[in-house]
Amino acid sequence: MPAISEKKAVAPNMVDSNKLMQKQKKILLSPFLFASTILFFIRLFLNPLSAEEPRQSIDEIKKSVVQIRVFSQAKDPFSPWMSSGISASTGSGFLISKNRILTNAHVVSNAKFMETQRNNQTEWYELKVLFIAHDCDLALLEVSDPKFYEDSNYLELGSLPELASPVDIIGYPIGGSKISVSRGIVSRIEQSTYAHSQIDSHLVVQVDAAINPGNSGGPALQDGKVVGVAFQASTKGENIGYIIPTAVIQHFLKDIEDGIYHGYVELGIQTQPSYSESHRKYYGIPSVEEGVFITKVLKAGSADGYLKPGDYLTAIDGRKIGRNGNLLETNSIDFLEVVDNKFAGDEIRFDLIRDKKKINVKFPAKKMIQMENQRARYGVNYDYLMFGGHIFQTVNRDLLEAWSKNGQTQGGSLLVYRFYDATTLSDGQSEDVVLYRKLPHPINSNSDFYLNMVVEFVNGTKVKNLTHLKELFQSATEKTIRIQFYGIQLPMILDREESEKADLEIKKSYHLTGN
Amino acid sequence: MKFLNLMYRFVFVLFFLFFAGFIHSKSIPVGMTDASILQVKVTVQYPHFIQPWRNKNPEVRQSTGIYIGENKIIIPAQAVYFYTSIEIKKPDSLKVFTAELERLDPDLGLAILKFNDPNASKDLKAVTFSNEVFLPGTGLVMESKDQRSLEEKKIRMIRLDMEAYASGYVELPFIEIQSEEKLDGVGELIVDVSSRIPQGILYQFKENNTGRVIPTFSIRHFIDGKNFPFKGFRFKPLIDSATRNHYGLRKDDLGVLVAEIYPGSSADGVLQLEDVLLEVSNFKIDPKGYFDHPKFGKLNVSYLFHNTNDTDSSFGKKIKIKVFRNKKPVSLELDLKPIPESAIRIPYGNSRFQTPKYLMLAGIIFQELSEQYLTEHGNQWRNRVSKELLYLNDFYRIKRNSKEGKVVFLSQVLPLSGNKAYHTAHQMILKTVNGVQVQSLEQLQTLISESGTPYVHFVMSDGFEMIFKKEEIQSLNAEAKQSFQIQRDSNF
Repeated sequence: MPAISEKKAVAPNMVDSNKLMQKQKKILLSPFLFASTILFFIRLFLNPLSAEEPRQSIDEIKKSVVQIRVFSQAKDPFSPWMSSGISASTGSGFLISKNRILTNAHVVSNAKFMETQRNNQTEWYELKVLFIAHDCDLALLEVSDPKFYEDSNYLELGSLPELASPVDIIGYPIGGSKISVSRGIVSRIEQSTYAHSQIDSHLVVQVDAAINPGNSGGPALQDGKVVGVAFQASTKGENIGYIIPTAVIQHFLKDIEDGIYHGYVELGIQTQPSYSESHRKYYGIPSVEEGVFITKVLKAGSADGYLKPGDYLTAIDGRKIGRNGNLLETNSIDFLEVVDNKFAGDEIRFDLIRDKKKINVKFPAKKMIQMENQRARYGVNYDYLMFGGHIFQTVNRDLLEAWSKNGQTQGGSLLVYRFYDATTLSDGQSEDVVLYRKLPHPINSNSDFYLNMVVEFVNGTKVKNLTHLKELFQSATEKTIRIQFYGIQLPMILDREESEKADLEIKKSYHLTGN
Repeated sequence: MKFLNLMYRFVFVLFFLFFAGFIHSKSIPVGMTDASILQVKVTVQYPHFIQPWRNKNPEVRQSTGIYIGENKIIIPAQAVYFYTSIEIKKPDSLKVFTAELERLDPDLGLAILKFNDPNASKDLKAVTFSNEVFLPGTGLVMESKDQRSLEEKKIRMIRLDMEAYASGYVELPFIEIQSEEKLDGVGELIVDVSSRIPQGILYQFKENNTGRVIPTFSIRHFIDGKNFPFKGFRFKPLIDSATRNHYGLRKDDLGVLVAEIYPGSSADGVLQLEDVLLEVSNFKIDPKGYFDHPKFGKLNVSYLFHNTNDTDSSFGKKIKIKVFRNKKPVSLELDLKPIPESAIRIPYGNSRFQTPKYLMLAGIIFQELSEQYLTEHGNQWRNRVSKELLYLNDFYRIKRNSKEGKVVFLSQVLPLSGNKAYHTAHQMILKTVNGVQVQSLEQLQTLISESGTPYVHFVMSDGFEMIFKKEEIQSLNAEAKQSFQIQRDSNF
């Protein structure tokens, strides 16, 4: 049933009341119409729930949906000492309690100033972010002025909508100041990548309704309850939008209960299906056992130290896993979805076959540090190091995207490869540091050969991360600094004192501040 | 009497050698009406690197051929790679002759063809290539097009320089030219404008009106059946003072840094990484890698190893080298050898007439990584191919030691019900089979055929595994061959 009970214009009845009564008597006597009436009541009796469902009028819903205006400014990862221009954008949000507004993280990312307004309000109220979760594209906001909440309403969270059921998406799309309602049908429910972070994959609900800029953060309603937050549109098909379902919203709200957003945990394994009988026999897996083989256990993931390549996972938390990696009970949900719903410290239990023996393994869920640089980040200052005009930075998604936008794509295969395979290459302790550009100065005129290379050693010491690189440069006492990069055999040689001296000139010439 | 006979014979041999040498090195002008320039039409059928069991559609390549005597024609090698038919047309003749490839040098980019008909060269005038290069100077390009008679266009020959040709590995001398005319660069003969003495063969011409010519002495060296030496190392300029100081160099006008050494090459065992190359054949090497040649001016140091010019050829000689190693001068001698093809880990440039090898196991195609495989993915190939393969191709083309093997990878799975567990696998590097590291397709084939275990266990570099019963491999191959019309399990 649609969420909004539509109001219809009613024409006043101008007929004489006595005549009307007589007419109604005739109608009741008509057997056909009488049967119809009976059928109507039977239907009502068989389906009492629908009559009891809370349905809010559009006026009530309007009181809970807000428009958000954001003025943002980001840092430029390619020139981390510089800020980009200031831009303005709008989005939507809605009240989920008396004074809390839920919206998408991407609506308020990089915000320097935010304001909001409810329908029919004339004044804009200043907003602040209480919690922001880039990995699931959600944020919780608050307005400090109590006047904003006068005569407001808040929405309740519902459940996962059924396939082919209608949902109403409410918000302020394309910058309009009037509320907009568009109706769509749930066309698919699946795990998919969230465009905001570009790496995290959670449950999404696909609807065949247009989700336009400005819609983001607005509620998707069914029977007056929130079934999701509108957040992204398909780039492939027309009129395909996605909403974040309530399971993800509830995960976010539960995560912040202690006042801190911790983020999603990662299992940290790679698996392959077990369709091959030969493969199963080689590992001594009985033919009745369904499950998946582990091919890799990532360093510093939850499973590191507990699971091993070659293990055959048959169940997670007692829920059976199929040969294709989906939960047998539904055969449409990946078993990793079970981990997705957990929080750091929660126990993950596996039934598995290892060395032809059935065993149980349990371990706590935890976050994977390596994932941080894989994720698009917002509102951060990018740490960097300049030495002899050479700019070093931790390899991360923002840098890589800025780097390719700057046309630096030639010869960068080492950088690209190490980024995309970072989770498997990483030892869980160290991060890649790349020499990705230089600010030209006579001292570095011959160092192009080393651009886009990832640092491996400095004066024979393996570099762990950018902070470590800084320490190595600062603590160096040798006259020359010898930097070795992955893939190339010749080191880069820099004169320590000359480089430091040149850096002072470079900072002045190129207007570098900070760091 | 016997002694006298011997004397006569000796004198005769001496006279013959002198005369032959005189004839050989004598420069003979090429007249405008000489029948020396031929039109060559080659039909080629290139192999398919992504689906190595099949070939692409045939194509026709047109080029210029130059008659060099003894029924032989010299043409650019690019024209004849993977040829299926060669047709040659003489000037002012409608008859078409056929020829076969006699020899090819992928680094020089030239090939010699031989007429199938021994009488085909009747009325053709041979062009001789000598050592003479007139630089700078004006030249003429002699080309023959369609049914028209010979045409001549003017060019300016600017300078001699060194670089690996478009498809080669070895840096060789080339003459840079400029012309206002539009030229093809498909093997046209270049002669000096006044003396009409051959100067070289045009092998490249760009839209910016510059082109490249293979100089006569390199052509003669090739015609004589000799191979080209390779210095066996690569160097990096040594310009910045910090690096120079680090390596203990006091003078700032000498030396380049040895950056890469090919295993099994001329330099292997002689030079070391991070040696500073100071002198070669008593020529001082500047920090950018140039030396002063008395005739050609500043030239890349590679010239001292790779040139075949009679007057300063190092071919067949020991080359004296002076390096700075661990802050001390060291004198070395280096024997020149041809490029060791075994040092190439991932073939690059052109295919050097190598068809892509494959080995099918259980309907799964394994190949050895080559740049041709990657570039076959279209103009955007760098964005399309596996990032790991791309990275390896950029940084590990040359073996770092002789023990390093080829990069064997799973290119695709031919979908069959028996290998359905692995249908999604593609562009994965094969690490081990039954626990043994895989270094070549030949070794992989041997490992499979000699495997004594009931199962064959493949492990990819990312941990992905494939396991088949030994007998499954053969039966799935048979099914794949029938289903996908593949002739053989392997092509080597």
